[in-house]
Amino acid sequence: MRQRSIPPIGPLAVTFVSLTLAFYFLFSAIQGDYGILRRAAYQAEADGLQRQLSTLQSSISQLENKTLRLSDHYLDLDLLDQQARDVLGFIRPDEIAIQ
Amino acid sequence: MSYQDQRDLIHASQGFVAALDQSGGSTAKALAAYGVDSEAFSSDAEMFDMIHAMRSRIVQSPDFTGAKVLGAILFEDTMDREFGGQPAPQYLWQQRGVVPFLKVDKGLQDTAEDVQLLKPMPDLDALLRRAAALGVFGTKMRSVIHGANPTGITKIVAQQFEIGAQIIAQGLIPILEPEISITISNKAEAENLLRDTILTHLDALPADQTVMLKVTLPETANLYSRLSQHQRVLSVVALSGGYSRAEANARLSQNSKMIASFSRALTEGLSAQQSDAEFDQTLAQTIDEIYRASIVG
Repeated sequence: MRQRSIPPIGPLAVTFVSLTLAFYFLFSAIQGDYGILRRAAYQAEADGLQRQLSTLQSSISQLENKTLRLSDHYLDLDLLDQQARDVLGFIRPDEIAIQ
Repeated sequence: MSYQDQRDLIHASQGFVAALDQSGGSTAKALAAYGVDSEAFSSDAEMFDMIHAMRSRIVQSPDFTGAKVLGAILFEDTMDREFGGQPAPQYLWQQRGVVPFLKVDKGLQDTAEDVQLLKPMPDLDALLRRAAALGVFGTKMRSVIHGANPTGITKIVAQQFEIGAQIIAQGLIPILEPEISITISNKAEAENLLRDTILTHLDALPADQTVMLKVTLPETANLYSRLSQHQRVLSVVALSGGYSRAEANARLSQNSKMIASFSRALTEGLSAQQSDAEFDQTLAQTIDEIYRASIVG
């Protein structure tokens, strides 16, 4: 008597679960919170913040430079003259300001 | 002593160029640091008279001579005043052997292309004629570089040389001062661009014209040696631009044929209450310290 063939449920299930997991992990690897796309976004954000940091650091060092050069014990007269004009609007008695 | 003596003294570069002045902006503060508080004067005019008295005391101090102080950069207010009964520039040269310079710039424009150009100076010729008549030898004008931007550096150097030609036409020697900010990240690159651009302009100068240059102490030692050796350059003056005195002296010693030019007033440690002996000794110390740093290079 011929045995009726029982469909190989086990392997099919394993294959299905494997494929599902593989697809899930593939999808997560690309779209997930820790995926490639999100990593690229984080990297771009990090680059932007790095640029912002170096800009801020540059302006801090410029301000520190100006502070030093306008202090009592250093007092750079050229810078003082420039700042007196730019910030305080000072001009010399024989000058005329044209707005 | 003649005009040629002045040129020879500056060219020999054995000393430093001092800033003698106090800008209007901080005169009260400078007087306070000098020990004269605000009750001592009741008007601006009195305040400026007192600051001028301090300057007079400095220039008449025994050690304030051409032996160490090659030149002194004056603001217009001081040029119009007197020391020892003589116009200030003439007194400085004839009595002290110090070459007088005049700061002629009137402030800076806003930053564009990483540079700040000079503001227009419409009455420059009249000022120069007055200065020459009072015995001023040269002038100084400062503009600032904030980045290694070829277009900006080309413009800033062109403006300095263009106004420099105007100054030479009135018989004075211009100190061209394109300052490079010491806080920028690409300072070395900006310095290379500046040196090459200046060389181009120097080569184009007529044979009878001479300039002086004032530049920030460079990252590379002797970067500007080709400028100080150029036939059209009387002398190259170094500005510290914010480096501490120790670092400025260290950098200066690595650069030969560069005169120190401190925009810092010589008033550090001086006070109205000091006796003449104490005053002269303190000033002598300051002058000697800067002089030694200047001739080390």
